[in-house]
Amino acid sequence: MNCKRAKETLPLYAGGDLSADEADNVSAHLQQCASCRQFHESLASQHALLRSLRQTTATPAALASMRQGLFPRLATQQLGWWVRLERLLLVEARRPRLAFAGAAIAVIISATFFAQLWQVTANPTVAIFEDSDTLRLPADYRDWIVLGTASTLPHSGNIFVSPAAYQEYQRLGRFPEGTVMVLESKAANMGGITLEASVKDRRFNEGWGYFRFDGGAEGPAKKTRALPESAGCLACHRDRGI
Amino acid sequence: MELLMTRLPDSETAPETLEIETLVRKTLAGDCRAFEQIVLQYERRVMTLSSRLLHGIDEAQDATQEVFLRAFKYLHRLDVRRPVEPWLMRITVNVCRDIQRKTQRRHYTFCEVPLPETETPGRGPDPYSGFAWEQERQRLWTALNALPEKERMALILRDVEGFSTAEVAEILGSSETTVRSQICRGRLRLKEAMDRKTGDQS
Repeated sequence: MNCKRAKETLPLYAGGDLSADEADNVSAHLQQCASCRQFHESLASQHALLRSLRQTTATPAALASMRQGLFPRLATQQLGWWVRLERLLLVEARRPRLAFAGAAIAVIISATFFAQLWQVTANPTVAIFEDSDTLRLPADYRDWIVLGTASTLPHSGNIFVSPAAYQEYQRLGRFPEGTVMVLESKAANMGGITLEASVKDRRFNEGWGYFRFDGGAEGPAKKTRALPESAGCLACHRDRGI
Repeated sequence: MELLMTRLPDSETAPETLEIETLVRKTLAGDCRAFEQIVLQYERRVMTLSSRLLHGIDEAQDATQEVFLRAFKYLHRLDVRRPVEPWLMRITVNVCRDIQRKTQRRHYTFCEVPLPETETPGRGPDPYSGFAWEQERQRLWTALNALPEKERMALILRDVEGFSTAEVAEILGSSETTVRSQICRGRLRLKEAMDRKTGDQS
């Protein structure tokens, strides 16, 4: 250890604030270095003087006069409602029976919450994309509300929309972001069911994206990419606002 | 090294036998008298620290009252399994900071700061009695009060009050590393100030 390092740690050494190893290092250096020893002695006597201040304390007279002011204020102190509420929660929570009841309520609430979350995830009412533009077919669309029947070419068939989206439409007069509308049509040329969907999503041009789930031997595809703008969907849909 | 050989200051007397947990429970149940018992146990410690952190007996008295009013209000936050003193000291530090902020008073840097009006317990002879020592103590106290506020607080708590570094960190609401470096810097600065003054006088 050199003198520079020693002088940096000596203030801590003088107050006994170093670990045993560090202190040993400093002691070893002090054995050899007279200048640091002198530095330390002055720090140590300063430390002792500081400690000596500890012996003086507040006088009984000052304490008594403080108490005279304090005790009447204590007796009349009104606690705010938030303090009383916090006190109730904290103090009561320390009692086992109430703590148990609290824990039970917490379990019930969180179980309900997770059950709902699971329900929502399993049967989403908004569009689920696998990457930026691959839409997953909502498995339960047939349980949705039939919004109407399309008869304008090239579409014909029933239009389904999720109850949640429909409720919001009734309440606010517009469909929420993520709304999926599914059109189920019997396409004569395929023999099977063809599904088409429009999704309200601001990432698409003018806020709506269009999709077709082509039918195959095992029914319609489970997912599909967005139709390109060149498919011309927007031209007709724009006039209808959806 | 004669100084280090002298009698170490008496540590604080052990807390009175009255069970603090019982007193806290009684107070929370609405018994004001029980809290008065708590005040009696800790008033000296709180007021002594206040008078060191602030200036003048009036400020210290106001601070002590405020500390106990706050402690009374937030007593339910106290964890009775842990020592009460650091908790009260923390409130004391906060109250004193508030008072300092309110009065906008910086510490007297250039003039002499009187030692707080205190008494020395009359147990045996005080090794630091005598006029020369008194003067030296006064010089040290003035120099201590001229330190930057954070270093001053850390030094008062660690060296004068005798809390451990960990306790000081808890009381000041900062980390142990920070407190350690504040203490180190404070002691060094204090020594420089004392050396400088000695130089002036000779």
